[in-house]
Amino acid sequence: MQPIVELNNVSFAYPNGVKVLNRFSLRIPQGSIYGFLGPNGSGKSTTIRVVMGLLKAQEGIVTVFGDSHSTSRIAILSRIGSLIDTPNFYEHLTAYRNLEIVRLAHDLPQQTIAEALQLVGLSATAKLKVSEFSLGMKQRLALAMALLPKPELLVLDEPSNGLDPNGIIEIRELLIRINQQLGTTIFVSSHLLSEVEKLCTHLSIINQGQAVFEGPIEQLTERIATQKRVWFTVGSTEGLSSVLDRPLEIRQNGSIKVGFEYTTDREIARCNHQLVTQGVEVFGIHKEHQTLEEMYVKLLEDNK
Amino acid sequence: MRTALQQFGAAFKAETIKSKGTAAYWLTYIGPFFILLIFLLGFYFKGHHLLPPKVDPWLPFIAKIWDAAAMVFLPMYLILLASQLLNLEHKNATWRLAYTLPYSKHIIFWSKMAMLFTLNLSAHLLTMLLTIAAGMLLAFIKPDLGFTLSAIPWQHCAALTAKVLVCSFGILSVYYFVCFEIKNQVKSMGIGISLFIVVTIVAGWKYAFLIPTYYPMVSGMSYYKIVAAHEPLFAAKELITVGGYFVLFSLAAWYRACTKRMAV
Repeated sequence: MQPIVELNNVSFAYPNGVKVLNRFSLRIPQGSIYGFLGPNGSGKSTTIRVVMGLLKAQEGIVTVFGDSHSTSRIAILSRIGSLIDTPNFYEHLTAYRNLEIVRLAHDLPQQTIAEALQLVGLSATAKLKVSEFSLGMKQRLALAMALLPKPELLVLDEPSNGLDPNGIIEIRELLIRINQQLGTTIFVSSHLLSEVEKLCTHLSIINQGQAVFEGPIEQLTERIATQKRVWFTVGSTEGLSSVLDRPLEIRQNGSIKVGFEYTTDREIARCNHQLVTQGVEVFGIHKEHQTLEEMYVKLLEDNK
Repeated sequence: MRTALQQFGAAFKAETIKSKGTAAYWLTYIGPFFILLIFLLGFYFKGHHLLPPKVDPWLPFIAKIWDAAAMVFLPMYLILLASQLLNLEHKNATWRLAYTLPYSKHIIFWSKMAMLFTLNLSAHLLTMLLTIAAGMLLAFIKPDLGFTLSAIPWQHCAALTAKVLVCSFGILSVYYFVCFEIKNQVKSMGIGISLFIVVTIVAGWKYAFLIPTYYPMVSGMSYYKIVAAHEPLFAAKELITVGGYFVLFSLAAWYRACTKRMAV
């Protein structure tokens, strides 16, 4: 199946010469919830702007729904709902009027406004001026504006910003619901790794304008599952490498710790047996699992 | 897919919503009432000094009001109108929203331009209607001024409105371009006010007409002279200067609206 969004070897530099995207590629499958991770300044926002046609890539190919912005800008934008960066509104207008502006652009029936407001829980405050809204309410309104046209592709840049924990859970459940019920493809950037893990089906990690990882989220969790590490607290390091015939990491910080990667618990028991048999004192054994966060940090470090 | 005209209709409606509640909107619809109230009081208390004796008072009355309105209020109004409408997008960083809605970039530009000219037209028409209403009220409350003795000069009213309105097109395009390019409202208004001040300083200079604020400022004043001298409503030099500014700056703003990285 053709991806909804495809970036192929895209490069982009700002007029000051700073290259933000460097032969970056990305494929967003239809129906996926596609998470987009990366540290500040890694090129996330630029990528989103390129996808939305706000910036033009200097190299590479960008297609959305199989078309390019240069030939089908209006057709593409009529199928996308977006929340880019901080939410932007006409603050002197009410929430309803802000939604009316989006409704007119998409040529939608009037009742879609009430539906969108209800969806994000803002029906009661529709007649309030946006300048009186809290940050969380603004975030919900921005989401309502993005959802109003019932888009095939939803592009969200940090949608959980400013929301309290309950709000974050509500938005997550809402996104999962519209993805499952309406088949909406969601492209979401976030700093909240735990949120990405709970929400997304696919993931792309970007660092210094280059892709570090791209694929289904299971691929990453499988990598996490296979890269388990165990630490033995031992009396001395003498003869260790001859006993344990594998790459070892040794830390001497008060006590001596020897670490190595393992796959099964039986392997730990066997190594322990070998060490004790060879006269190495073992004071403790500690298993370490890599979290998504650690994997993310490791991927970024490897990419430096 | 909607036609360009349908898109324009929707975008213009959206511009109407956006403009409501802004200072530009209030200036357009409340400003003329304020101006006419001042003149009404002036003519009520000092009408015999302000109007020539034993002459049909309508034309001098209208010309005096529009002379002052075009000289003082119009330049300030045009500066505020353009800076308010454009700054609305800069201040709220909503260019990003505008450019991700399914409109062509040409529609985004022309719908805002059309809103600017519609508000300008509304302000002119309302001012003229209120001028006539003020004259009619004076006929009732101050009959000795002579407003009841002759008919309302509709033709002069239409011609004078058209003259001041058309003369404002050039500077309005200049302000549109300036306010589009400069995010800082203080800076853009500063440029507008500077042009206004320059004309008041160098009004007698033979090339003063080249300053884009010159013709709109003198348009009200020149009408009375045109009528007296039986000259055409617009001089060729006037049309070329105003038209030149209008075309040049509209095209420049249009080009920038289609090419500038507005939403970054």
